Amino acid sequence: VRSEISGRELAAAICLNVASPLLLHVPSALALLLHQAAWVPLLPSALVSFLPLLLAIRFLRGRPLAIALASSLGRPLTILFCLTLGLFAVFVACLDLRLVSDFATQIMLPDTPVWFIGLLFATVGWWAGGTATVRTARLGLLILIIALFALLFIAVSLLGELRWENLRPFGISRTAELWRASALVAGWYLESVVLVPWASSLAPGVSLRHVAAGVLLILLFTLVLMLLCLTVFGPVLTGLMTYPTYYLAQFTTVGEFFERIDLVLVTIWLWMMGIKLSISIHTAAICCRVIRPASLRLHASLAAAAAYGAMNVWGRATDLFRFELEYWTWLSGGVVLVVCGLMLVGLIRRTPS
Amino acid sequence: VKHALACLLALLLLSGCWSRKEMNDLGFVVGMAIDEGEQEEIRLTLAVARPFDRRNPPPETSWFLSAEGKNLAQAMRRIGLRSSRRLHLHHSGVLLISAEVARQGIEHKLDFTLRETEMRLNQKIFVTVGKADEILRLRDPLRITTSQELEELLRQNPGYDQTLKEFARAAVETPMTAVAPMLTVSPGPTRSPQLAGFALFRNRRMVGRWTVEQGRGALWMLRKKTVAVITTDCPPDVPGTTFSARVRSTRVVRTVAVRGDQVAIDFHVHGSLEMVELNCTLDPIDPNQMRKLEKAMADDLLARIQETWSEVKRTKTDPFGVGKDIQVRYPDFFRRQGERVTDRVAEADVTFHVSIMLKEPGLVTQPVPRRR
Repeated sequence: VRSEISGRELAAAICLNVASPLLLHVPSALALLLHQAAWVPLLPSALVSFLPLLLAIRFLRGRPLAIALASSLGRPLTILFCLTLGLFAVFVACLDLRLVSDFATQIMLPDTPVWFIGLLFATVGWWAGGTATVRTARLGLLILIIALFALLFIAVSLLGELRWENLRPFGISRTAELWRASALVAGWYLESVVLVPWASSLAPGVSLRHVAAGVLLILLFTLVLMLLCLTVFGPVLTGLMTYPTYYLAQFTTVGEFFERIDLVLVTIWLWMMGIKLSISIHTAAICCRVIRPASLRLHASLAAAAAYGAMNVWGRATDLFRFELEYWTWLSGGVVLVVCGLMLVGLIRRTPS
Repeated sequence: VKHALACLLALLLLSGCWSRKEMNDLGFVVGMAIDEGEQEEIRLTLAVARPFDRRNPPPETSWFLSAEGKNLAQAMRRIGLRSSRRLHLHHSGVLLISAEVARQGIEHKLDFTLRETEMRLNQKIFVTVGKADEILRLRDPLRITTSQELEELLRQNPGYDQTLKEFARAAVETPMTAVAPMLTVSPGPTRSPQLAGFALFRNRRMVGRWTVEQGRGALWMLRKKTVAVITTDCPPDVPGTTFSARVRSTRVVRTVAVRGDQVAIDFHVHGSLEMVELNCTLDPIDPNQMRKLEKAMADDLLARIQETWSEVKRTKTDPFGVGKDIQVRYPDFFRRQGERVTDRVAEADVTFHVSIMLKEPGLVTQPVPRRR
């Protein structure tokens, strides 16, 4: 099995890692804060949120993770690095699992117990992560292409429904709202930090342009969906809906015979979330192995821990929504600061020798 | 290990057998009607499609279930107590609300329709002149169910088409006023649903209505695709009775200006039409004579539009979304006024400019000669 990650696979992994949670709650949260101008914060947040990945490519490129960390940071800082990133990756998996459980039980599988969805994705995480990281990314690329086609189809189908007066590029009443909204989006984009350990497995041809391609693709993806939500539903209705993008798909029909496009989108979505989950769990497993090289396969236990956390951390769906709006930015921002700080320390220590 | 894993994954494919929903266990709701209750606040009626053999359809193709409740959810649950099938709302095509209920306010009904995951936002919404369930229960001779008939009615009259999404959007936004088509029962021996103008909402409460005549002017101003024929008296200096033209395309350009607290709106309405009947004695090939007809038709349309606007003024609503223009062009004024912006629009100084072009004379060039 090939263990190197190509440029296209990295771009797909970046997109999938951010797209699935970003599409669920972000349009609604941004429309609540910024109304017609809800699409504006997507641009600056995307540009600044992928700096950790660029830093990681510089820091870890061409060296096995354990050696790179041990030689540059020393044992205590390596443990801190891996512990922070590993715990964050499990927490991201836990958050995603909870998101997908809420979404699936409310929309698609109302009678299915949450633990079943947890078990399903824990299995996916164990299988995909345990077999090869590359496979996950390759599968992700395929799903991404399908998702882009689905999005294109929805956009074309809804051309007659677009109300362009619902967009207002400028005229944000308070700058504080723009900052808060940008920080909110950045919080989701910063989840891409779980891909940092992957930088040591990149193929020789991978360059910064592949990261840029991934970032631009996800930016395009979210921007189009945000604009569609705003122009089809208007800012107030978008802000009222929990999953505006689901309603977007629900509103799309092919003639009068295919009315459940929403189910196609939901299926792709659940698939994307499964891949995202496997990426997070695999990252956590990599970090565990660096701390304790002799440890056996960890994916199943990490996936089970994430499933357990998803079912117990947030009691109600509204708790999760509130957590995302108020605390997630700070938590992910803090983790990124620690990880980036340690990588910078590693780069500085490495340069003189 | 690989084989064991493959078997385990294959087991997941059987998950569809668990908590399954068979077609035979589902009752497909095709239409809903909301009326004022006699004992409680709401009376909900559901039209459920009856399964039948197409070669031998039963006299009743829908099964109607009604229940009263304090709100829609309670009424729905009470209906569920009487149904041997699980009621499935995904395929509900029409939502009928009686004018009495609409006058009291539709916040709670909107909340249910948006919150319930089975409700689809592309179902059509109507306000009924009488009881909503009476119209839902009408037996349609041409279509299988009344809700299907209503959906087709809108297809033939696209200007009246209003989805739940569009209605909800207008109802929740501050400067907008929601508009919904109205339905009544056609007079005569064949009782069938008939479009009867528009209901005007402000703050999610019905505050007025446009009659069919007023609605004709409204269709132009709402910038909706219209299938309409305008019939006008011949110009005074031309002998004859009337002439009619079919609308080919319309264009409405509006300009909003704010001076102090006063709003001024300019509407430029242009229509391109095709002659379908000419009972005026003039030569339609002569451009000068044609202009006379265009002028007469433009005056007639202007009168209709002014009548439409008079209802807007009376009810203090903003069905054309002028408030949105103010929000974009004058954000400070909009913020200052808040909800009162709708009042400012209704009190605005309005000017209408109507121009008509009769582009096609039809398939004959001259009026059919009259008997002397």
